[in-house]
Amino acid sequence: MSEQILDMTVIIGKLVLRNPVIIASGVFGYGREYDGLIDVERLGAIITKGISLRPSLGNPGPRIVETPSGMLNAIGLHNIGFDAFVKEKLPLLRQLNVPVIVNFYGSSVEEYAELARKLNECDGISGLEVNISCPNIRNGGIAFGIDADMAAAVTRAVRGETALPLIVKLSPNVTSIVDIALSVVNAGADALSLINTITGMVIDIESQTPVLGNITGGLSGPAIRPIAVRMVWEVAQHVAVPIIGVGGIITADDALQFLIAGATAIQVGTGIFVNPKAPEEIITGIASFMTRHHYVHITDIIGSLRVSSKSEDSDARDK
Amino acid sequence: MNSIQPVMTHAQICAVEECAPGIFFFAITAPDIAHRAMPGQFIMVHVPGGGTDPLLPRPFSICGTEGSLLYLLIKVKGIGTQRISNLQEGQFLHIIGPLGNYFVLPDRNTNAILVAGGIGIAPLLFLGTYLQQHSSPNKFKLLYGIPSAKEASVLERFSHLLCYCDIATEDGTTGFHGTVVDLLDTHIRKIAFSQTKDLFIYACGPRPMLTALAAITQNYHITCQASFETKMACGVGACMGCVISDRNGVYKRICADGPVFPLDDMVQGVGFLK
Ligand SMILES: Cc1cc2nc3c(=O)[nH]c(=O)nc-3n(C[C@H](O)[C@H](O)[C@H](O)COP(=O)(O)OP(=O)(O)OC[C@H]3O[C@@H](n4cnc5c(N)ncnc54)[C@H](O)[C@@H]3O)c2cc1C
Ligand SMILES: Cc1cc2nc3c(=O)[nH]c(=O)nc-3n(C[C@H](O)[C@H](O)[C@H](O)COP(=O)(O)O)c2cc1C
Ligand code: FES
Repeated sequence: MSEQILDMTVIIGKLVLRNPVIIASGVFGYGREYDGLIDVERLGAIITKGISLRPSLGNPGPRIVETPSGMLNAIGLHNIGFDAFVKEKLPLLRQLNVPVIVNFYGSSVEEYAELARKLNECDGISGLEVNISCPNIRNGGIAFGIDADMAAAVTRAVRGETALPLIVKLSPNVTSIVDIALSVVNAGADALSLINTITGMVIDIESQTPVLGNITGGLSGPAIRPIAVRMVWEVAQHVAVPIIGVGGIITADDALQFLIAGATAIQVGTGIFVNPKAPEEIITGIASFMTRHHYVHITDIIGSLRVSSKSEDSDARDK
Repeated sequence: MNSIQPVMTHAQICAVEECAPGIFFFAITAPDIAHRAMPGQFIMVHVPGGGTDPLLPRPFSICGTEGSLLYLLIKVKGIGTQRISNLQEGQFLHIIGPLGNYFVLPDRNTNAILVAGGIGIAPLLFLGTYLQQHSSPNKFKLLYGIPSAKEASVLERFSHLLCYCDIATEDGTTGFHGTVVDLLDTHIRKIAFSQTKDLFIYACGPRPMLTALAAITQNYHITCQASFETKMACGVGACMGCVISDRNGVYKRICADGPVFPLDDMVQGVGFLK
């Protein structure tokens, strides 16, 4: 069976993707920085760096540090702001034959709503991803992402301003991700992305100071993958909307774990630093998995996890 | 967006040699990069050995090109550089480049002084070679600061630059006894003050060295371009992880807006020595 006759199409709200492989927010700038290295037109979609109403300077350096099989980042949502995004970046994004999903955040419910309304009026945006989970700014994301009512309030306000496919990106820094997921879905989200980074810290023992300028940062990369897979699996059992899995995906095998756990699509974040060709190789790798296992439609893999009743018992005991 | 697009390639190692203790010279075949690279640009090198530890690629300056060959000078610092230095002739390096901006070349009336601290010599070897080949060859000087004479053997690979080079060692085992910035100072003192305005300084080295250097360039009103280092993740300007603050508090990406910046703009930025 060749790749052509495999059906890799997935649907996120109204958005039809030719395959489930998406580039995550924050690792891909405004979509053109990797020109020449990544053929984005093969991908399901791309997501741009989180923008805010006004430009944001971001955190002082150092902003990144490598950790075992991962990295911490404390970029602080450094971005050029809505106006410059629309004027300078969106025209370049419109040249690409790939759905563009715009990630954004605000520092109040009103700001989220205003930005959603403005983005809704722009040409060339296929969907919105609301970041309620960034752990790096004190007055922003985190307050919304860790509280089910606040998360719902943001979702409802944004939903009221746009008919675009609305994806809400959840924070893993919570006690029950299922509770947040349910309230966001009830408030009108078309889909959920999970997970964002997990808050962490590295200390330089010689100077006895934190390595990052921001003291703490968000952990990403293969180190967080098992946590992300677990959260996707938990949430998938409770919500009906599509889930987009993200966290430590570099290879097709990694991506397949998420699909099997119940994700409709996946995002590659830190993985593109390791291998810019990772998203394209994942598409090819999923296709050969489908061929090997005689799947024609990718949707047949989604949520195909087999759990024997015995292991479900032991799962209950672990808790 | 990069004006010239970088490429990703598996570059075969043609030659590798420990040219000074802990410093390795590599010649690798990368025509798509070598043909376009300019002095000051760098490449990202994936750490060999598979696995996800270490995860991120490492940045290295291009220290020369010849036809399809790209030259690198790599100093062993930690796990990544250790693994890269263990590679043998015939094996491959997985690289992306050319990346970043480059040194603005001096005009013909200018006297250029290249000031290198330690492994900061790498981009300046490329610049020196370029100046020798492309501009009036007599008009530049390379000052190389190292801890001791042992590291001077790095220059043997670049013998065409020896006649332009003065060495400063911290222990006095060869050349000038002191730092490379002290050496520069004695150098400038020999020049008539009226001529210092025709000087242009290019520098690369540790940040404390660049701070000391800035005191001199400001004192004599000499323009200086410096290449900066930091940890990087993407290397192409996409992640905002590699920033340095300029004198106005604006964060610049070292990988995409740099690595070459006017020295004055950056030493006055907050957290320069952090
Ligand atoms: C634009 C640019 C050009 C460079 N050119 C060269 C070159 O030509 N030759 C060369 O030998 N090195 C060069 N470097 C530095 C080189 O990238 C680092 O030494 C290397 O990444 C260290 O990797 P590691 O795994 O061996 O060390 P790690 O185990 O990651 O760290 C070991 C030590 O090195 C420090 N370090 C780590 N990464 C960097 C970095 N990017 N810059 C400075 N210090 C770092 C760490 O803080 C630590 O103290 C350049 C860096 C940049 C940003
Ligand atoms: C450098 C960097 C910047 C990021 N910026 C954003 C952002 O602006 N908005 C957002 O929702 N997520 C952001 N993220 C989170 C990623 O999109 C992703 O959720 C997370 O890194 C986990 O996936 P990964 O392990 O594949 O990287 C960022 C991650 C990194 C590493
Ligand atoms: S390393 Fe990603 S922006 Fe410079």
